[in-house]
Amino acid sequence: MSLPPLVEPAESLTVEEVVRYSRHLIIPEYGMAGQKRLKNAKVLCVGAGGLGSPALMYLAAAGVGTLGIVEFDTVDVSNLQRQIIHGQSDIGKSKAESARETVREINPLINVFLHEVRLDSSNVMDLFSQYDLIVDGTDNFATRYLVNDAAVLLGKPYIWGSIYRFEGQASVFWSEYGPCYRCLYPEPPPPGMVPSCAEGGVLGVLCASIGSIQVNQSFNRHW
Amino acid sequence: MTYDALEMSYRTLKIRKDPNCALCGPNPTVTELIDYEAFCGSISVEAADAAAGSTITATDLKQKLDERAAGKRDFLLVDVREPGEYEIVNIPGAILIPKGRILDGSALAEMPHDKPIILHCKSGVRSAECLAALKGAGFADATHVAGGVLAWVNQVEPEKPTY
Repeated sequence: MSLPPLVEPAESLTVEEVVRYSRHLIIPEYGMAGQKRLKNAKVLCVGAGGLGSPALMYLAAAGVGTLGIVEFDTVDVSNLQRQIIHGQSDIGKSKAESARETVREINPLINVFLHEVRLDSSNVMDLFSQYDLIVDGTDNFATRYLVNDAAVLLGKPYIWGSIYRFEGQASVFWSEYGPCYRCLYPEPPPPGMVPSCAEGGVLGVLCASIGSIQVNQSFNRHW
Repeated sequence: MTYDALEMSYRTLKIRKDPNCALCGPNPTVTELIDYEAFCGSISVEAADAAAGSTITATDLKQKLDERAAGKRDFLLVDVREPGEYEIVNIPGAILIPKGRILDGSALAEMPHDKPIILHCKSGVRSAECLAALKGAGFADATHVAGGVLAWVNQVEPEKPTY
């Protein structure tokens, strides 16, 4: 199903931007129009962990004009097996800060805003309303339902992704045009039923598979 | 879309809107944000109830293990994690009985009624669930270790790895 474009194209691209994004610009389906829309787009990534790492890096490299990062955690050495946006020298640092440094190194032409808070009912509506699209890289069911409900209540599309051991799932949820997360999963699993990454483990490279599908979905369907 | 990294297979599934969806259906019952911690629950009510008053610390456990070694106390220390986790790091003197075998009842026959049982896992969540199952099965003298093996390494054997 084709969805309407989320954002209007920016007026123009600078010479620097044309050079940087040239391998996108010469794809006929993408072109100047697609790149100008990306430039105007504001994408909020919830979490700079397993899924957020590749998602943020590819969103930044592609030239999404404004990236927001919601993350309150600090980098731990056990994150580095899969959270490739962070490195050895970032251990102990704020993940949001560390993610911003990597993103800036990849592409200094975009705006990056940090939201170093734990996403909850008191801040989610205000945060989401500042962005066009949400990328959900959360690692727990409470935040996942929070993201879904806020997105539905605000009429915002979001790209959900989830990973466990060797398996991953991803989908666009935009309730105006299709199902929401609750249509798929009306009830959360009972407490203790589903282990977290810390309990159950996760294949590092699976994060790249699912995180990049999330980025791909955000490009295909909306710009 | 689902992806299986072992089989290297992608599947695209068609998901339809649920006409009875509590949030985006025509007759929603969820019309504003709710309490998500309560909705999802990090620990079940049964586990929280079982753990109340039946929780010891890692340093308590160390003392009890020392007393057991000196012949002044007897109890069974059960690690309810998975074998791979036990291999990474374990508490000396613990026997491994994974959570699934306690919850499905198959391990209950191996549990003693004549001495106390102490359970531990990685962080204290799984052991609380097992504690509820044991208490439900009539093992009154059972406790679990708050913070699990992570607390043990942190407080008792800091030279061991965490995971």
